[in-house]
Amino acid sequence: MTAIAESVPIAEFENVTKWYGPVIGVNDVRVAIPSGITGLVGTNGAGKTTLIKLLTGHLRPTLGQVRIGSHDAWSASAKQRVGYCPEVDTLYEEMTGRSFLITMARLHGWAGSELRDRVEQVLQQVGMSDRADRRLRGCSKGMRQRIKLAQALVHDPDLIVVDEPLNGVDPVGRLELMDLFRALADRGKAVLVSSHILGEMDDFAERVIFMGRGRVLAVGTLAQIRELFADMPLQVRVICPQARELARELMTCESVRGVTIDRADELSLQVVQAAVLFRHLAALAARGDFDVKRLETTDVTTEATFGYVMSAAAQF
Amino acid sequence: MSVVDSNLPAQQTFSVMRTVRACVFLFRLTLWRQIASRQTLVNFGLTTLCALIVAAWSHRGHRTAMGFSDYMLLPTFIGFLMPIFAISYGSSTIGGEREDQSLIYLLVTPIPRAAIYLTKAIAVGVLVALWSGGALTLLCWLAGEPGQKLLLVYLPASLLGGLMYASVFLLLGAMFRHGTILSLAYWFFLEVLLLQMPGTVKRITVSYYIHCMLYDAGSSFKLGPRNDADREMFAGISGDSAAIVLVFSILGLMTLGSYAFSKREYTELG
Repeated sequence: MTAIAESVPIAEFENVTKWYGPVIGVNDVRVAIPSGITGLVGTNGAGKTTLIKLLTGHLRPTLGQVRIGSHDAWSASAKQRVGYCPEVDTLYEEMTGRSFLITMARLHGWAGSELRDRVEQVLQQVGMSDRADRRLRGCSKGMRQRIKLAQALVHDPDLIVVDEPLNGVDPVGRLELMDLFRALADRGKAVLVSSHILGEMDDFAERVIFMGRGRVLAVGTLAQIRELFADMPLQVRVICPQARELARELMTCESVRGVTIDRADELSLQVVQAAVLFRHLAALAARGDFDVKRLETTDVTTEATFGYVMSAAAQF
Repeated sequence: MSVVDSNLPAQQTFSVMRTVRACVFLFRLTLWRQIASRQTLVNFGLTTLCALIVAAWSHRGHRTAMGFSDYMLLPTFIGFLMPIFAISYGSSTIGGEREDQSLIYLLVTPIPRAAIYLTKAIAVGVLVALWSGGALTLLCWLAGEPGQKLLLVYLPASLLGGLMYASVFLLLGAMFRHGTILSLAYWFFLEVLLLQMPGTVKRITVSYYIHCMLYDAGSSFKLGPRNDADREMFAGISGDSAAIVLVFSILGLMTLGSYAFSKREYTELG
């Protein structure tokens, strides 16, 4: 199930299968990762970790090929283009944040003033400039998370793979990191974010890869994937002071399958052809009969769409 | 928090120069991290203990080079300290990083995996050689005249033996989980037991070749088996042959290790 036409991908999985002995990790995966923010979503055992390890060159596919640009992901040359922020909370504990970044930059072949400038830039990006001289073993989880992210950025890669990046980060920090991901995407970088907190994806992922049982179940923007479930009524919320009157009016509309009055000024609708409803509502509002304050779909979220995708996958 | 546009060359080819520069840094990093580790403290403590034993021995009235070799250097240095140096640094250099998962930060760098392994092997070799050479010199100095006579006899075998052990333990750490435990098991059960076995089976141990080098170089001090029966049991080869076996085994293990490391998937990392 693929719902999006891709721009030039930075990374590509070409019919990739990975076996761990008798257990299959990912099965015939074919997906491309273009620039922008891509969310990776799936239940435990869905194959997210295997996908990430294949992409970062920690595993080799049993079948198929994983490419970063024109390079095999396992090759050393591909790793220059990939930054990886792992989920595991391990660093070179005896170092300070700054010395750890300098170490990582040097291991990527950087040196001299170029290196120092780059480290300071990255520390600024992750908001750690003023706290980078603390020993890592004494840093809070949020600070360690930022340093891990910084080491993934220090060599200026095209593809940044981040596994559970917002774990342990306070709400303000989360917003800052999301802004950072958006800024990286704006600069043409590809950011692949794996997270089990589906609400996070709504906030920053431009497109989502849904995984289940080792397969890619759906790829695209949430709206594109949601459109694939045309037979599933769309949930629409309407805020309008004349909720009862509007409910009565909308029940005559053929695209509306159900109406629930949630509060005195709030309706929930189940709609099969959203465009018809929206035209109808627009006409009502234009006539001045109803004062529609707000109109929104409530199930074009990662969580809701993931539910639909998983339900559909369970039928196979 | 903001993204600062980098004016740096983002996608340079990872040139040979950059690889060499990264490897040189990795060499220094490995040395520094190992020296600053608790393994160094353990080695320091054990060397001090052995030095105290040798110092106590040196106060005996009748001291000979043969006695110093048989009662001090063979059991305390060749049989204990040198393998400990090799195990402590060899098995922890990759195996330790694997266990604490920090190996992941090396595997994401564009340094070819074989180069990572070789660089680490060289760094471990330097450390083990320095510890072996340094500890041997200290023990020989403490022993007085018998020790001074034996220093040059023991030095080549100690250096080659230390490097050989380090190569074995580095490989075990890179290939298997719990490399330190495996290395200790190998040393206790294979090296010690097999060396005592009659026939040619002992030739698969490192200790055998170290002893051959020592007995050959120390023949003027009557080192080695005392009588014909013992000599027949030991069935030694010449020191030169033993040295050649050790040198080629070290090179072979480093080649095998770098090949295996470049192919190995560390599924537990990340």
